[in-house]
Amino acid sequence: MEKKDKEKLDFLKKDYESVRMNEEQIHRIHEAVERGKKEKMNLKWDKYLRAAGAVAAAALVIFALPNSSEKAAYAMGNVPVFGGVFRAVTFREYHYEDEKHVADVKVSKLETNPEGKEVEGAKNTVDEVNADLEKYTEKYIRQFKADMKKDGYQALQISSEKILESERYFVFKLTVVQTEADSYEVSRFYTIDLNTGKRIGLADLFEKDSDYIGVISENIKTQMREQMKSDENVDYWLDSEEFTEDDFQSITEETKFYVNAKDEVVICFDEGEVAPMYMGAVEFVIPADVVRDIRVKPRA
Amino acid sequence: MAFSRIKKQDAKEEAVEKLLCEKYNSYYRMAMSYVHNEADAMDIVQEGAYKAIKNSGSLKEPAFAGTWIYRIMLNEVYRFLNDRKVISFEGEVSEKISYEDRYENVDLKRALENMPVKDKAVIELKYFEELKLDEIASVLEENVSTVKSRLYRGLKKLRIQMQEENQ
Repeated sequence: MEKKDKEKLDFLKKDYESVRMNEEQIHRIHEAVERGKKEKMNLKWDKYLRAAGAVAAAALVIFALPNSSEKAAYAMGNVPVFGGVFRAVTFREYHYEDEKHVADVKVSKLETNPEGKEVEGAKNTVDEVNADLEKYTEKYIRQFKADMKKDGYQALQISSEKILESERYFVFKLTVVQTEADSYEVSRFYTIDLNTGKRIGLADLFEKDSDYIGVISENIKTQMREQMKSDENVDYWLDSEEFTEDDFQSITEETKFYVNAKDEVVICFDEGEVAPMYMGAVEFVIPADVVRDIRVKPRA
Repeated sequence: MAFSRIKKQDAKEEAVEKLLCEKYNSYYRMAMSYVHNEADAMDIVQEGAYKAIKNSGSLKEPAFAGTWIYRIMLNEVYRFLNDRKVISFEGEVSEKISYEDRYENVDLKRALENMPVKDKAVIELKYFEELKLDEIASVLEENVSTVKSRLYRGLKKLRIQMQEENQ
């Protein structure tokens, strides 16, 4: 290129490069990037929920069945109860593997233990829970088989486990992990009151008219803030500078929960519900003293 | 605990985000060269940045992020120019010409200014952003020979001798 021509291009380039964003404009680009990231996450979550058939609703089955008197000597929750009311038996296994697809499904259903204590209502609850377990398991297997026809990698893992069998409660959990480009985990919990044999909801753990939703929500926010403060890798949707409408506000009656071996209430959120997807499913153990005044007291 | 399961951020999204946060001035300059208005150029780049991140999953390889973002930004420019054609042409085109600019430089700027949209993009990407011809072809979704003829035509308008290009 001739010298004169080079000068022309250099002039034009210099002129072109004289245009620069100011600080406020740069800030706006960062905001647009954050907005895009957030929207991308929402899209993924929506897509997943659609694929999964919108499981968003409660996923905990708590079985609390009356085990009462003769077992009362056991410290609450810490000792496995022999000859318990329920036992789990495998009802569905499905294994598949090829170059691009892997499925590993092993799910148990519940049955009343013939050697265990008889509890009124337990049989109905077992039927109800089993129907639910079956419905979800089969749905995800069907989905997996349909997706195998599409391009790309697919993996499905479904498992179930007994989380707790205490004096008061029986807790059973179904966990579904679907993997495509990304993996998503959804779980369902079943908590059964062993005194009544009925599956219970979050509200059943607290005194009527108590503000358990407010008390728990505030405690969760406190825990979120503490975790974010002490670990920069932890991020929840709370106190955001932008998109405040997506911030965690409050749990609801439908929020997933279970009771752990220390008899503490554990609140569970699926991936993407209260934190970016990379945080995975998150749980908050509500300390006993936070809800001591409003928890329903065990029967004497 | 859930924290042990923190997942690695998507590599494609990361690549796109990195470029947007490093090369915002490039996208802004390109937009300004078409719309000559800060507010409009900002709208274009913000919308482009938002779309690029949101759709980063559809990018085939993180390595293609560079040309892919230019393409998105240029598409926003086209969209803007088309909309403006339909609506009325509002506002003065600001042409900042400093006193130091000599007449022939003014002519030179005007020649670049008045080029067809894609011809101008080829000149800018080649000489100001220093992209290779095949990369420019990928930005414009055209083949390399079309890009070459745009380059030739563009340089001719600038009265610059075309050299045999070795990519």
